[in-house]
Amino acid sequence: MSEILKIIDLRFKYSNGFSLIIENFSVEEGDFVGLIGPNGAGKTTLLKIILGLLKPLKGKIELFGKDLKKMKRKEIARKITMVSQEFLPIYDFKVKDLILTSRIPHRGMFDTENERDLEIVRESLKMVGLKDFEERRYWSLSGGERRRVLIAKALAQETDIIVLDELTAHLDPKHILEIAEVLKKLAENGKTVISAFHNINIASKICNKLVALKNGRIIASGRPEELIKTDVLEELYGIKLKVLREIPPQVLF
Amino acid sequence: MRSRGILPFLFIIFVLLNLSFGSVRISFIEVLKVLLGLSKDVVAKRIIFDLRLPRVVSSMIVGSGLACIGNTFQGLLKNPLIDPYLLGISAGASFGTVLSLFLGELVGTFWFKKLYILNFLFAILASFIPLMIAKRGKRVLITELVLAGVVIGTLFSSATILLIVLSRRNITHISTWLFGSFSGLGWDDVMVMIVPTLIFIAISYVFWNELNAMALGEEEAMVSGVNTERLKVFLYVIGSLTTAFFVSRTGAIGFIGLIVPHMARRIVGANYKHSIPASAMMGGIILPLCDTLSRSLFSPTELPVGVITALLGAPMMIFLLKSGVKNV
Repeated sequence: MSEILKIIDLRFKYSNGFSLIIENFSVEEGDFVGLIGPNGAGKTTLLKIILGLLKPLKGKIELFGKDLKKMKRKEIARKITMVSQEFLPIYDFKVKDLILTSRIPHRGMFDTENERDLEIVRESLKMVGLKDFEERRYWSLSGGERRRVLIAKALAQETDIIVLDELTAHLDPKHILEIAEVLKKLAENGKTVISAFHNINIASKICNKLVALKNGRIIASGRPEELIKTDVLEELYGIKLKVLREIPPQVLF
Repeated sequence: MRSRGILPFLFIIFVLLNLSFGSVRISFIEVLKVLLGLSKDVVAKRIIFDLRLPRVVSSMIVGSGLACIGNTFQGLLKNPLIDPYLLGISAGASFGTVLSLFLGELVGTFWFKKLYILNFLFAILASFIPLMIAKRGKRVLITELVLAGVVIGTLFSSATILLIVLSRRNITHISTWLFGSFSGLGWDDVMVMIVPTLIFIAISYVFWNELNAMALGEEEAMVSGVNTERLKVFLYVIGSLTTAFFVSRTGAIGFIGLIVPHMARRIVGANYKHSIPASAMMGGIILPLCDTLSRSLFSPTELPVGVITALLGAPMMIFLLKSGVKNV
């Protein structure tokens, strides 16, 4: 297992005073890393920094041994991609056209999409359980379907690392389980995944490594069995809770 | 999908129609004869080749160009209500024109009568000020860019009215110009406008997938490997320059850049790969048609073409907003 993402001595600050300080954070190939922590802990900020969407004040981020600062957008996009919770395109795109935008990093400036690109679109839709959805309109889909389309878009980008931001937020239990199934499949397919989670139970079920963030600092990290403990979680979320030590560990709150 | 094949055919029919109508009615057959070089009617030949053809071609170019720029800007600035003329460019150019008339009267210098120079300069100025205002470090913020454009546009419009009042002269000529007109355009104007238009359409088409990504959101586009800052500034600048060329020759023609892209997307879908050529073609059909109406409705008096585009465009937009899928 080799380290494919490494963060050393990262400092980041928003104009509202929130600061994120990460001394050390690394991800190994094949990891499924879950970021947990209360709202405003800096989970999304950290993810955006990893993708180069936000520029840190200080610190070094290495992606496959290369300095992120020195990489071009297309180069980054061939290595790592992100699935947002949801986005609102200004036009009602066809699912196919929407997913095809993920082929930009693999395209030269004057290339147009080819059969292979379309094949990849079909494959990635199949993988998230949305076979034959190519011609559907994005706005006509349900919340769960939209999120799976966004996962398919990330898959079609053919990156080694996929970053996910609270994919299960605002979904009902059925859709949450569907998404969880898809995420498990990602791991099985050898993708390295870094994901922010609101739902600790799902995080502890599918991640092999958890990182607890609070007020822009990492307060604990380790395997789910090590981290899902009453004292750690009570400190993290500031509430009383109870951990049921079954396999996998479950949280009641 | 069938409708896509009909567009080029419609295009040719409309060109012939536009050549046929006007103060002097020339029959359809005669138009064909003149174009194919079979006619012996010297007057018809002159009217067609020296007056109507450059005018029809100009309006085709401006229509195609405006529709494509509108389409691109709407995705780029993530706002489906963008009209390239809304962003201050036209107001700047109008100000430049009135200023040259004003100065020309004041000092009587020959140079100030050359309208193009000053209005082109002010068109560029009016499109670059918002860009400067919206810049934060290396980033250009799109909401700020749109707002600054509208503000600068309003500023220049007011300054224009101020100049008109100060100059106290007959403003019929100016008002025609303010609403846009293809009257008196010749082949040299065609040449000036066709080059930037073709360049803009070609460049925006190269970036169709990047534009799709931008329409999903700036962050999404960055994640997909688009250098969004470079793309924004690049397309905004050449789109503004192209618009400045138009306004300096024809005045401000509104609504085409706003509505035609919406109509095009309604027909061929949101994908820029299809909406760019469709916008170009539909703009090239609709604006010449409006121009033909403007010069034939109350012939021999001409209406500014901008009046026609607004009269037809406003109800059309309301219809598009009220019917079917929103924002497409």
